[in-house]
Amino acid sequence: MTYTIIVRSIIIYCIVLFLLRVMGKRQLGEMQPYEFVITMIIADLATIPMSDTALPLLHGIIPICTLALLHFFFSFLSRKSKYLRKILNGKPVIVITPDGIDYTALQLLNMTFNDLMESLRTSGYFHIEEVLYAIMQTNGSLSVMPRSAYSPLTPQDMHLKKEESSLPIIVLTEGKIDESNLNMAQISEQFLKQELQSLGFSNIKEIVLVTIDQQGCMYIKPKIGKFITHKIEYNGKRHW
Amino acid sequence: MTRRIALIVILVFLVTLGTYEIIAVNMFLDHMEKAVDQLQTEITLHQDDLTVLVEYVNQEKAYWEKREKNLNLMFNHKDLKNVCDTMNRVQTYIAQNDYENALVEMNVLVETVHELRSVMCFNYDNIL
Repeated sequence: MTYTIIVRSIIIYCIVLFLLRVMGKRQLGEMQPYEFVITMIIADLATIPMSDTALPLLHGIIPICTLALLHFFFSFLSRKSKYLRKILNGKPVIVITPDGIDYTALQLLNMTFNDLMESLRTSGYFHIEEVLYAIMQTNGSLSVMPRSAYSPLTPQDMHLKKEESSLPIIVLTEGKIDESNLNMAQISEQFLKQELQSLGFSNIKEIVLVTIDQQGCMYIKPKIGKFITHKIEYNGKRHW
Repeated sequence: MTRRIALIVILVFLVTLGTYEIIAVNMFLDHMEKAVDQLQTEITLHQDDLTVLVEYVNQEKAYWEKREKNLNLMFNHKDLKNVCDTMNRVQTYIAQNDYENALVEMNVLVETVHELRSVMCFNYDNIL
């Protein structure tokens, strides 16, 4: 019986994982209402045939597959029709306007002032007067637009010219070289090893992480000890 | 593209399974219903000497056992076990020429087999 349950669990896990991957990568908090409902039901359905061996495994797989189909169908409808999107997903609600908190909107969302304050604090705003607009999105997250006086100062405000940031990519993790990222960075494995050797790492197994950005700045974290940064000679800037 | 393929695979899987179930289960239940109805009549007809039905019951038991493995894919195993247990009892009573018990168990078997169809049918009752 134990082995039966183990094998059943593995099968169900693989199917649910596959379906959730196909359904799209979303965090629980970012889901639209219909996605959330389907995910919750799938999670519940998956556990029943896992432990109850009297039930055929198909009794768990069929509803899960049906829900996945339903998800595709609703996603399709949601993409194609603005009207259905509004029904399935709801619409964003403005909870704070320049005049202050919209109490009617809060009631509509079944939210308390405490809930609103909590969401504002999560967004980094501790005083309501700092907020010009706050919009409750359909996935339950709060988008906040601060008043100009409370907006963070940007280089543009100061008329400063700042070099564009560059995106680092991982070229080595836990002693293993990521060849596809190495190709993207347009450096050879031999070159990387030479650079690491010049920094005193004779064996790449001693390193847990190496990243490189578009300007050739390397970040090296050895297994033991503090991280090091190192700049390699790039002919121009890389793009990825 | 991957999503579209997955969608088609799931759709084909569900339709194939549903169709297979309708065909296979109906064929099996048609046979079983006929067989148990026939056996019920035969028991009443041969109440003096039930042992003449031993061969027939054994054949039906063999038919059941042959298909039980496939049915496990679709039926709740407890329902199948009920049929199997009742069939075993009918087989024993017939071999012992115990008419009264054989008839009682036979009635239970007829009910259980007919109930399997109502459990598996695609109808409003089952949907609701």
